Amino acid sequence: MADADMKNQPDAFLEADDMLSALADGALSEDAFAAAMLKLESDDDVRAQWHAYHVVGDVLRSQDLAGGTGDMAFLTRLEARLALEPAPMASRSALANPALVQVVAPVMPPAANNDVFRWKLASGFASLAAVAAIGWQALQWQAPPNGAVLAQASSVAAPQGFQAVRADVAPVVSAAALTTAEVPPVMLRNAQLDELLAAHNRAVGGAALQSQTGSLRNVSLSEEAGR
Amino acid sequence: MSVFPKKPADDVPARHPLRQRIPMTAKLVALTGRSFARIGAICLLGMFGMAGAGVTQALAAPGDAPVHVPHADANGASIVPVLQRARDAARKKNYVGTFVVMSSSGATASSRIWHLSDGNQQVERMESLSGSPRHVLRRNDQVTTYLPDSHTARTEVRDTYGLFPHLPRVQETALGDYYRVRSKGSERVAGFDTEVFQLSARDGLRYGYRLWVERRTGFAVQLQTLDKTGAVLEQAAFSDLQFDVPLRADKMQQAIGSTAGYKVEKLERVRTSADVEGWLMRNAVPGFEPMDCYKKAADAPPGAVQWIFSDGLATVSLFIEPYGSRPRQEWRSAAGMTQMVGRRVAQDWWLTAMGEVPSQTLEAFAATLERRP
Amino acid sequence: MSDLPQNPVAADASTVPDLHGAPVIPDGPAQTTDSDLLLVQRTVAGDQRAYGLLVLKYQRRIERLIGRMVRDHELIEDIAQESFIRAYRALHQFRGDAQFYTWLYRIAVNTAKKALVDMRRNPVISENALRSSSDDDETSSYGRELSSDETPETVLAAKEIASTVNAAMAALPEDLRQAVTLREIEGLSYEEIAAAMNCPIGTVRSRIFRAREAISIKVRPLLENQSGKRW
Repeated sequence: MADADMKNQPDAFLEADDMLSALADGALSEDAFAAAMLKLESDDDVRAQWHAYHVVGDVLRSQDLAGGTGDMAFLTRLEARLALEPAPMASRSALANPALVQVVAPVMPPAANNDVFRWKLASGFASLAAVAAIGWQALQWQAPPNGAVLAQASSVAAPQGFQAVRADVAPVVSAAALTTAEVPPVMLRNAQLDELLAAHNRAVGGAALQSQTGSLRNVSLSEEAGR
Repeated sequence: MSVFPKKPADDVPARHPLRQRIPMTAKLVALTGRSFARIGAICLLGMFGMAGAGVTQALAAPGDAPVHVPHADANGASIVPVLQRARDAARKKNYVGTFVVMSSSGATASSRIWHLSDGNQQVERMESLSGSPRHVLRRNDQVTTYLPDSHTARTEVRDTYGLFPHLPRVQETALGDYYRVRSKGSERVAGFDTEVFQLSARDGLRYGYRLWVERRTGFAVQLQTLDKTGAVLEQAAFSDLQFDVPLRADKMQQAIGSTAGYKVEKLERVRTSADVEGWLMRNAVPGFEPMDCYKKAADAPPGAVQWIFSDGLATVSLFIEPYGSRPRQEWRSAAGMTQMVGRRVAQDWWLTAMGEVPSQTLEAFAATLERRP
Repeated sequence: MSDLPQNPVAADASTVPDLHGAPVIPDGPAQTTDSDLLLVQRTVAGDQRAYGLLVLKYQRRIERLIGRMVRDHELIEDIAQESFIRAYRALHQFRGDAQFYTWLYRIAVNTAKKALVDMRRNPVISENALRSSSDDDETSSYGRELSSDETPETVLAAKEIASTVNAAMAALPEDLRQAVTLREIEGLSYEEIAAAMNCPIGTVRSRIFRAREAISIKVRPLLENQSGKRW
């Protein structure tokens, strides 16, 4: 997409708006993008145009998104708060090496009563329709004990209760070594067991989600393990 | 004009106001209390080659008359067409949806799924919405899993697919011997009218299920797995779902993004038979029939033989390998609702058994597994 | 600039495994059809105003999402603010290989749930602030009951905006309307629209721009009636 002609007239109102439309569609080259950003950020009128374009787009897709009269006020409030935030760090992804295991105390199922309660909530009682939505990871009724060690800072990407596996960790420990009075059982998983689980999940069906359901299945130690 | 894909980012299906008189509703996007159904991931993906022994009933095409509802206390055979129809619908319909699985431990996982079918061929894409990033692209039985973080692409050929993939291979009447089927009426889930069925285990060797099936298409929208007290072990379902979405296979591929520089790992496994590998079951574990047996390919690192059993609904894998020189300790554990057991068998061998069944079932397998003389 | 992944480039066919069985699907470059990733990168590089553009783009959708869980409008706004702040803090973790909105959506859902959990622990919060489970069916803004803090004026404003957009669309010349429909509703890229409409890409860009102009000229006066209430 040749934007050279646009660059030559960066101040012409029409060209700026055309750039804006193309910018919204990801259709600008790098130089043009930089120029368009400059305009957008220095000129409130152009920013209002950006806003209007997107309100229009939203309404075209869904009538109940009609609105937007309070959006600028919302943004002003938000920017005031963002000004207090440290700038986002352009660091590398914080996601750990998948070969690394984190040994974490599991979120153990709480007492039976709470379990029932959670499932009642889960099945949609009253206001927690939120439970229904995707990404239900924040809703934990029991935080991991303080002994939990996480190799990475919590991020929205890391699911609760799922840890990657370090290949050099010893295989699953017999629970005979633990008593119920001790520290809550630790979740361990080794690469071999993971492989078997994956192979089993293949047999269960649903390839696209096999590793997903596999990821739910935290290995936990049962007090009854061993004979 | 050819068919173009919708942008998956919208959480509401797009309808131009000028195309329809009805004001836009968000019916298909359910964030209601019940809408997060969980479908044991197994349910979703279409299967192919489904004609199986014992399945004699004609199958309604998706979109035909509503599914015949078995009467209360009907035997298991009457549920089979319902399940088959659900398998068909997952295989043949075009759909896009958000899929959420929730374990009784509270852990959840969710993903977005696009499924395209021309009635025979299927293309499917899954993008993980939780956990580590993952894209899966399936074309018929070819599955490739892209892991952006490790720049790896894993490929394999899958022959078990969809809801209760072993169902066609068991005796149709056998299901009724081991499960009691009841109709539980209707419910509204994810914006759809569904029929609810409960399959209760008649013995303590398996779990029960509750299934929500969409009326019009027969598509399974929600599945719960239940223990013998009726408590829910795992729930999975679509929290939002749209049918007949125009999709394009090349767009689905492109949406995965750049895979330049990805390392390709191919799953190496070979079909074999338990017989050839030297294993037999002295007595059958009630309801469970042997399905498939796999071992590692010759040039792959040695591993266990996998012998798969199913009662039509539940699946058990027996992984058998030589005991080895280092002493091992017997153990029992679980990964979510998948029970696991590690046991010494036949003197010189080690069994790791796993399945979505009570652990006593795995113990039963361990007790009756024998080496051929 | 930043360490975020570059825009996706054409896949190297030799490193991606062949798939057997028709249809043969050629690997092609993943197309970006919006500027989200660029805006994220720019924000991470230090330009906070770039983030504001993302907010203006997604705020209404995020508020609608939250509004399914929460009834009180001020609470919706608070949760929306909180969501955007949390997203801002986590921006460096955004993986460019997923849709920004999907990522943002998840953050908003988590934020809302956390807020609900916190609220439920506080018995003082009235049940009215939360959605009841009987709200099974989403209704459109037409004929929907007012949620608390929503005034007839805000609903009216929303209706006016919607009807203005609809009328403006209907008044557009066919080629402009088609172009903007393919872009905004079908989500096609300029290249795809050019193929569909059998015209050069430059024409596509111009038609979309002119369509947007024609509609937004009528909508802007309505948006600038800042009452402080969004709806």
